[in-house]
Amino acid sequence: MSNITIRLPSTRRTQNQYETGNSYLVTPGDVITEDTDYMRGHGTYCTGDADDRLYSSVAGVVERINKLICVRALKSRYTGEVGDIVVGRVKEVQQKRWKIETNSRLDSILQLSSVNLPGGELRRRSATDELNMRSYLNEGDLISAEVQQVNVDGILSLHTRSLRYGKLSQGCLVIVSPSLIKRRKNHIHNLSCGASIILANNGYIWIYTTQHSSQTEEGDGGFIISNESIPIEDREIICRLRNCIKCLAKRSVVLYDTSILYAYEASTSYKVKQLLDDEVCDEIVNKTIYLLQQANVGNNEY
Amino acid sequence: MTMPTDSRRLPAPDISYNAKLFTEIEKLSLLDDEEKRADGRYVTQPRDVFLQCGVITQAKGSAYFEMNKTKVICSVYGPKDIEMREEFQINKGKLKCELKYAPYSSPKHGDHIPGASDVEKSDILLEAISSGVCLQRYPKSQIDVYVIVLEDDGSVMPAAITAASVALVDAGIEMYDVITASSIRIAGQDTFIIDPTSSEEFSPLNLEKSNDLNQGMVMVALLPSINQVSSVVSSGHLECNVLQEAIRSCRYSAQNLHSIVRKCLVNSLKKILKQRNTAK
Repeated sequence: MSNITIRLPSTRRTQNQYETGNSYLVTPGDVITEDTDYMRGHGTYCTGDADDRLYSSVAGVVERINKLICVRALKSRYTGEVGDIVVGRVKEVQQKRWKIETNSRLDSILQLSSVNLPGGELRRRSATDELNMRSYLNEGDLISAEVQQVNVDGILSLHTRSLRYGKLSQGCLVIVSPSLIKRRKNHIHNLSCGASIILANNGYIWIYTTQHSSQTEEGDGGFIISNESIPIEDREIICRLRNCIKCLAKRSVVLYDTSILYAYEASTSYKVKQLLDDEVCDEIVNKTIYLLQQANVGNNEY
Repeated sequence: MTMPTDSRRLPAPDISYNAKLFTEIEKLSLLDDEEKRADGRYVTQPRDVFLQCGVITQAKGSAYFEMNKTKVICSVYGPKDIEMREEFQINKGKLKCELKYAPYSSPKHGDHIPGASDVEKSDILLEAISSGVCLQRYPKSQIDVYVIVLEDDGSVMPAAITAASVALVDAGIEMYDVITASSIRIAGQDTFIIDPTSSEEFSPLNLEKSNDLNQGMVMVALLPSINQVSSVVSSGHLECNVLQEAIRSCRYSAQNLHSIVRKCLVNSLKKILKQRNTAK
């Protein structure tokens, strides 16, 4: 009774040939400039000594901002900034902190002193708290947090000192490239289609059901997991959103609440599992791009 | 000489003989009358190559390299937290390389389990690659490089090194330069055969009877843009001046690979940029 479709790669429509842009592409070892006036940015190195030439150390696009030259690689890990929202998975429970995996070069750190413990925020951390760390966050738990500090070696220090952050219970995680998430003022949205979404800056997107206002007074965060059953209609909305986001990510469309909503609206004419097909995916993304361009032309907003 | 065999397979009965003992051993001479090799190439002619990056979607970076029948695929993961606490280095990162032969890659790899020679090859790969990666930019981190040889028809090490460096660049790891490599077979003082196939490779079994003692193989890994050699591996019996000449030829051959590698990387960048530009 099940419908299974299998297709050979040759029957799929391939993308059109790429034309040359006017960007300056380099590979490692290429000389960018012989001029000594420029300051070195990311992705460059110079050998010093007698050689003044500036070499590239990654494959990417050369960006020049006044006197600063840097090479931006097209694939890179998430490098955090203070104030970013991240979604991560607890990898390890250590002495007084948790190690969180956040799709960056090194794992991030969540100190015990940076979380909200039940019993009041200003409570002093005792030895029993340390021993009971596993009851708050265990290995494999998913959390949302904010970046408090970026250390010298790139390790992020996170905190969940707000009711908006904490352990994530029932929902769907979608992993995309961090460069696709647009920097906005707000990253946690209650979408009008009936679900909520956290667009974390490290590329982890969390889709979940909108909490109703009659929830506990602690809010969405905290360490209390709600295990109530989610009705099938909500599950379908979450599934559809997840497939839309995957389609947009495949075609490198920047993700923010408006683009996701446009894609959702464009996908309502299809069944949820049809969104996994390449042609349907292309159609939805084209529609979304068109609507976004219209909106940009109309409002001239950024 | 005997490679460790697979203990899980059923062994043949004690009184059986290997079928290969009864076949005629064909001794192919390396060069025929017109100075051409078995596959029609001249001694200085390398095989045509195919190189593509971004072939494994799960990996951070990947590359597939083909030299006629020799096929290798490489995947790169990282940079990520170092696994073993003891190998933690404050000021620079760690590069871990693993080279594996697929069991279907060649008849002699059919039923052998990884022995000492595979570890040695992984170490050669590590040595060739390490000089090119800016490890001091990745303190406390680890970068994993996995190379699988899908088909072995000679010149596997140069293919693995080139594929690994392209995969590292594809993963966005900072490097001083791409690394290209080439190997050469010496069969006598004046005979230098570039890019040997597996039947042309140096091995004590298929040596031609010759008065010239210079028989061996040399492989050179090179950083082309800055013209620095990162690794030289030689085997066999070679006189000093012959070795020097072989290294020089290898360097020249590896230098020629640079334009192909560069073109492949730039094409891949253009493709990604075009995808992003149409989405804006």
